[in-house]
Amino acid sequence: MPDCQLSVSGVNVTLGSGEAAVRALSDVSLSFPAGAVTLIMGPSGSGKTTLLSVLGCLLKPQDGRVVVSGQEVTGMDEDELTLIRREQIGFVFQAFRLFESLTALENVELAMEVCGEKGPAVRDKAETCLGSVGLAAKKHLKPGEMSGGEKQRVAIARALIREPKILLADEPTASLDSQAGEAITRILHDIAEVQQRTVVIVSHDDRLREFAKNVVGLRDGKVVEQVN
Amino acid sequence: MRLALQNLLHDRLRMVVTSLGVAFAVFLMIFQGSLLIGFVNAAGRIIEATDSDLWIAPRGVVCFDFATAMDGRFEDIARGVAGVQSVDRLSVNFVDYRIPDGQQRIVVLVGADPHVGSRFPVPYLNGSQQSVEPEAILLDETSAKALDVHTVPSEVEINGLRAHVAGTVSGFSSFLGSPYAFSSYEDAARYSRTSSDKVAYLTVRVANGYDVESVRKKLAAELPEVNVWTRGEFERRSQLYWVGQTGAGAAILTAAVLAFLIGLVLVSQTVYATTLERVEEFATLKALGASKGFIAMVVMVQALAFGVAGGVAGVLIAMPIVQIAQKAVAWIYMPVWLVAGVLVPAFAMCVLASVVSIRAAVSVEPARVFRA
Repeated sequence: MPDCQLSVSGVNVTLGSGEAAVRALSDVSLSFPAGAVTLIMGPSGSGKTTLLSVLGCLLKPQDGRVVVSGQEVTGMDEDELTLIRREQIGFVFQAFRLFESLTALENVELAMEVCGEKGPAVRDKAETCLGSVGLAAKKHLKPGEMSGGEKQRVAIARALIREPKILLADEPTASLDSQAGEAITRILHDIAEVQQRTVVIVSHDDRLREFAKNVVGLRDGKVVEQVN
Repeated sequence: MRLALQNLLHDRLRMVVTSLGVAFAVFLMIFQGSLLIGFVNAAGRIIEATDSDLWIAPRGVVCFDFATAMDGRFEDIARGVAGVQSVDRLSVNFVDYRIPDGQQRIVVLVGADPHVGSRFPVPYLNGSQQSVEPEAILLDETSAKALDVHTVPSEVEINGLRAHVAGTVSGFSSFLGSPYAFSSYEDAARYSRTSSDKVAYLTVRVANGYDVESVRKKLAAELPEVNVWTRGEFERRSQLYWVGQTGAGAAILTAAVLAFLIGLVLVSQTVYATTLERVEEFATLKALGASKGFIAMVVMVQALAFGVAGGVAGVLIAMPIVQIAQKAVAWIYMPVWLVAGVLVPAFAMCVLASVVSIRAAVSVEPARVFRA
């Protein structure tokens, strides 16, 4: 059994309150091994994004345990969760969420700057990260001057600069054409297998199955499929 | 704070619109403040221009412009009080002013003894302060055109008596609607046909080595029928009367206070709205692990940038507009300290608004980053 960096057990999440309350996750227990891509699939409203928010320490479950790199985070306060995100988790978003005013290089550096780290060493590291996703030559371009695939690669470089053990990707290929989507999937696959990180991808895209070692199916907030 | 500044420069239109909002607020505060300060200054300008230490005024006088008469012998009594160096007479009367083509206006004729003050307008002969030119009056330069005086000397009539405009002075425009005219005390008494044994005001200079307050008390004891005020006291009384007890003053004061409040609210709302528009970016920063301090700094730097850009623009807009306004409202006055007095609270409001905005920014739900 590979080293497990991320797990949840008995997680329940209810969104909203009163009559509008919706049970988004119901008694979800999962482990996400390092060195492998875990693909979470399911129809809209199945709880995929809610699960990703819980895994990313962005949303606290009402019940259950969440363990990140051996630390139980369930009872942590906002500041402690911020530190966990900063040190342990990288994010890749469907909408890229790059800062339009910054160049590719500056966007990657920003992930270090938010922790108070800057200077030539940070710049060198950012350039290396951009190089690792094949964007060294486009480091001075701003997001508005890049294609969707290039933006997503910048987002991956940004997620990797702090060398997180866990990478969470929300529909990383949804905004891309098939060619760019495949390139991004391969990068994520390599991050998991070569760099031995825990990679969790939420997607509707069935083509990602071939890159995933583990597939989790969700429906109505419950785990309905688990393929290893 | 590269992100904060780059964001501002990237979205120039928003930067311009937000800065213009702040600039308009600053302009509004400066303009209305200039009106109020100019009004207050004008209300005390003539009193302030004398070199006197003390003023003796009839009981019931509320301001310089609305003078009543008091007994002229008070002058001699005042001269006899220990510590009094000199006493000068002043009069104020509304008189009929007529130019050769027959047009008439009511003007406020201010008559004064020579030496009442080096900055006080008196029509001295050949510019020498030794003798006063007879039948001569001085007009404020802004009033001269309104009174159809285009050259000096210019022949006029005051209450049917011959006079001539001997020159113009600056800084003595009136907000009363009737311009000021300045003449010697004797001419003013003659033109207004006031009795020689009556006087409107006496100004007193205290001799070196004497305490002004103790001389004031002695004069008050000798002249219980009248008021004895320091120059500053009478100036403040006049200003308070015009600002607080007249409709015009109250309107200007209210407008200035409202402009100040509206300006501050505009500044804070503009900064707050701009912060809220960037809420998605703050959510991303939180997801990336940014501390509350980092997010607060981004908001604060942006708010201050709006404050500086808008503040400078507001001042640059206000300066020429106040100058243009001076052509219509000569007494409007924009002192340097007013600019500082407006910019400091404007910046403070930017910071305060950013504090409110920071609460919104740091409390943004980070999980919203997954919403496409």
